[in-house]
Amino acid sequence: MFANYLIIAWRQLLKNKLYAAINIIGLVTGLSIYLFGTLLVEYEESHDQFFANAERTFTAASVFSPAAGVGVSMNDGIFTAFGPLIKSDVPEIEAVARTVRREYLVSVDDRQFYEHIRFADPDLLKIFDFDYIVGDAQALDDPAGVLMTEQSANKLFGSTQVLGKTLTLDHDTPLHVAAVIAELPPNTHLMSSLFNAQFPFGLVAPLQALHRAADYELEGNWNNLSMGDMTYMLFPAGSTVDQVQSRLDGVYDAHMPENNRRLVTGLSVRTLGQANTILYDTVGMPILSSLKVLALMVLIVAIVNYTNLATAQSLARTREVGLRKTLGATRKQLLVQFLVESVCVAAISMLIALAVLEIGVQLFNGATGRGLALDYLDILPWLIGTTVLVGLIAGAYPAYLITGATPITALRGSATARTGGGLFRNLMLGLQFTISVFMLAMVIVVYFQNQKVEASGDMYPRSQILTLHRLGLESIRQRQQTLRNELLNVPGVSHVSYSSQIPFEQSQSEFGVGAVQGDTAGEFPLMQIDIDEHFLSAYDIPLLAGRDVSRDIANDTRRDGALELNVIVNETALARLGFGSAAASVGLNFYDFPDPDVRGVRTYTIVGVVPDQNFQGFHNEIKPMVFIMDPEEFRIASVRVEAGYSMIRAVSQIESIWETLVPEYPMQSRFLDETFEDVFFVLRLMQQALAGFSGVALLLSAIGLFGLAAFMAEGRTREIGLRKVMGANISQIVRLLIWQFSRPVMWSLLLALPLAYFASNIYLNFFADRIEAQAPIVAIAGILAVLFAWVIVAVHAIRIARANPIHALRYE
Amino acid sequence: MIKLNNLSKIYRTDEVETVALDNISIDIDTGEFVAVMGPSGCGKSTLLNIVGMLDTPSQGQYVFQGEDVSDYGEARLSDIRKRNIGFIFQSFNLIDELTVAENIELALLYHDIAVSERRDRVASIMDKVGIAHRAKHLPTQLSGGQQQRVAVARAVVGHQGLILADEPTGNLDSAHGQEVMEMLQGLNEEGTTIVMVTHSPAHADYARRTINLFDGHVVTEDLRAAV
Repeated sequence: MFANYLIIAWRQLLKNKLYAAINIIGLVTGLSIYLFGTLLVEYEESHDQFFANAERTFTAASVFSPAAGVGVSMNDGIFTAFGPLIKSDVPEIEAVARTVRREYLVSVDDRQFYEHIRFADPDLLKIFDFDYIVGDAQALDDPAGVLMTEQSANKLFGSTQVLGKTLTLDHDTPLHVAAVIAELPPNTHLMSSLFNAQFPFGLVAPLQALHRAADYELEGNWNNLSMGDMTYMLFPAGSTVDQVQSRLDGVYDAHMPENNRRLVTGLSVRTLGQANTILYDTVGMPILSSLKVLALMVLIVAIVNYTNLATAQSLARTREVGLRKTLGATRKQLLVQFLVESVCVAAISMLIALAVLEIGVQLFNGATGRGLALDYLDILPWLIGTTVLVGLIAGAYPAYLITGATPITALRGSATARTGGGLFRNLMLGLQFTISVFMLAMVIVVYFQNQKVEASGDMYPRSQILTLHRLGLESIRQRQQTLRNELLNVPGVSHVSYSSQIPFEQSQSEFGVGAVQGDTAGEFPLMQIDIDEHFLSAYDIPLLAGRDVSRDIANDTRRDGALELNVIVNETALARLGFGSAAASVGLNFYDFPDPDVRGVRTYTIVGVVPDQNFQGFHNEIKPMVFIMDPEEFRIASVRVEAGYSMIRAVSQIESIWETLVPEYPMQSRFLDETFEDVFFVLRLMQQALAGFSGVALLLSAIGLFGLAAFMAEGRTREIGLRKVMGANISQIVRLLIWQFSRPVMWSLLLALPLAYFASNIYLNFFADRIEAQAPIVAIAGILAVLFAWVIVAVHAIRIARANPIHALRYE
Repeated sequence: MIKLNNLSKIYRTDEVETVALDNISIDIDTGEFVAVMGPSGCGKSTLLNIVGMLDTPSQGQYVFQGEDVSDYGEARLSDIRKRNIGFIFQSFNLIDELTVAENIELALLYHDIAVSERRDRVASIMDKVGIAHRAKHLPTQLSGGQQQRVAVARAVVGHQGLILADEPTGNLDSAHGQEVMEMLQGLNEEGTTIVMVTHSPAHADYARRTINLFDGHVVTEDLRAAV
């Protein structure tokens, strides 16, 4: 009997190739996306499990106070001062390793490379069981030792047998190779987390080396948190996140300095397995779970497609059902038959989807450096379960509907049977379009918001500026003035400015100030940018009142010990200080709150006011800001090339000047545009992913609508023939058919649009600066969807309406 | 075999009440060949549907092989039906996606019969109705007469004692019609009870008894001597 079901199922597919193709293409698409989304999320969430101590290794994140206005909810590391305190306060802990990443010019003989080096406590090698090619887990006990991966060894030395060979950091700190480890697989956070992918794990040196190279304080500090600088802790087997959390809460309560508690309100413990995805949490957008939900939505649209078409199509099989019932088939047997059919279709679709996935995963791995794999042994139960479930869900309603008919009506195959399930089909069509319109509306909102965010960068001359880095090195700083003079000689170069930071760079340093000396109640954090007297003009930042800073006025430049300083502030800073208009504020003072043991209170005098600008772009709120002239802090040169001059030619001339003046360090330069693009990258990725999902969902809905319209129009051939005989013209009939299908689509808008409106708020809330026309934008998605549906239905409607009524009436 | 006592069938919609069968009583013995005739709408098909247990009477009693089935539910009727009754339709009602052999086998599918025995019975019945050479063909590849022979084969492959034929020759030309009638006659001679609805007096002549229906009433019953 089962064989008979399969035969019928197969021949049914062959007989209705168009419907079969639509059904299978739909399910293949839905399944591929669902499987891929799930695999990707699983992959991201199951990193680092191959480390022997994965189960008992933990990391901790710093939770920022929302009031701090940092723009992210967490940092994936903790203050380095915590490291030694955790080790001394938590008796059962077996190892603690802090990591600090820095970029250095690494010299090997006469060859030079800029490398990101992880400086770590030697315990790092107790926690992670690397696979040593040469050397061993004592490599970092040597204060001048360095451990590197196979790939780094080959890059630097051309070989892995390099134990004891020397490399030099920034021309003055020699280190020797103490270990070379086998390349790490891609599924560790050290290689592939959103952040580490840019700077994969290559060189590791002890923190003592950083102490020698840059006077790094080994006991750590309470003022620096950088993304990616994680602290790893090894606990005894069986320790839970809760236990570790309570230990760390104790350390936080006992040691966290008061003034830092306002910024970092607590520590949040993670397992090593979660280290890879913590960055998604810190950004505060539910990226991975959104991905899962979207993939599931696409699958639902595909299932609905199948259900809808199968319902319509099954009505053509009422005669078969009637016959089988006449021959003694019970309803249960018939239900099984139809469900076997839908499970078959699901199985065929699953097989094709897996083939698609095999190719897709290869391409994806190649493009993103990930190691996704289809481990069939592992996922087989899941695949089979999904196939059966999809088949059952998709086939349930049509099977129920068709097997419910009595044999007589079924055998008659009468026209009345064709209208069966009409309400259900409309509901399903509505559901499909609800999901599609929802996604479409989201895409459009995200697109416009991203446009706005990207446009926020246009207030700066983003395409005209080249930034040069590493100017903070003492030996280079001495040559800044010469460098500037030489660069200004390059044709087209109009400005050369030094600063501690450039627009859209995601880092910030701040200090507490107030309008009244000693009044700590009025203290608030002021974000500090160190600039020279050319910065404002180089970046087209206008002055609302007052003047720019100048080298000729002694108090314009900060000097250690001097307690008076002239500064430029933005409007938000004025508001926080309680000052009036920009013009009225020039000449007013505010004060800082230093440690009284270190120095006295400094008086800041406002000499200039600039408008509020989204200096960090992105999602950051505009913060109170102060621009201070402090040559000690300059790290970056901004070279502005006027429009009309070739940027490429200018860059090569700038490069040759650099090589002459700073021969010992290769020039490191970036276009300002690239810095801006970094900020937009994640947003664009979200937009593209969302656009992809909604495109597929919409396409599936369109295919479903197309198939359904074809079927229903066919069923109405006779009615349409009669209408034509009675004198209806083509446009009246086309309108009739279009209207029939527009109704469920329009009903779906009632649900989808409000839903999209609220869901897009989640995305928009991420930004300080939001688009205003959200409602009209969401409405556009609705209009687009309806127009889209009309075009699809019209294709059939016109064809049917133009047919000769004689043929139509002969039908049946 | 079949005993209908004061049986009525009334179709009701919100506004209209249609009496399809009005208080009729008919007895059909095992081994009989009965033709049912009458104009369109006289209740022939309704009668056949009730006898075939595809429909239930509104009033009256239906006794099948000594068992009163008037109040049976769908499941029990279906069970009696599949063991005892074979159907032949005017429009053949073969499943287009199945081959000749598979269509015939369908009638055995819902019985508890082993695959090998199913095959044997299908093969022998195909021989009997002379369609064996078309076993692998699909219905659409056959002539009307051949299709109806497949339908006849399907009706009797389960050793059903009663065949209900609803205008079995209605869609056939006279030569093919006669062929089918002769086949039915042959089955009757082997002991199968046949109840056949027909418009053709010539084909009704194959039957031993003709029941004439008009507006839901039995008008006349003509008995013929055995041929």
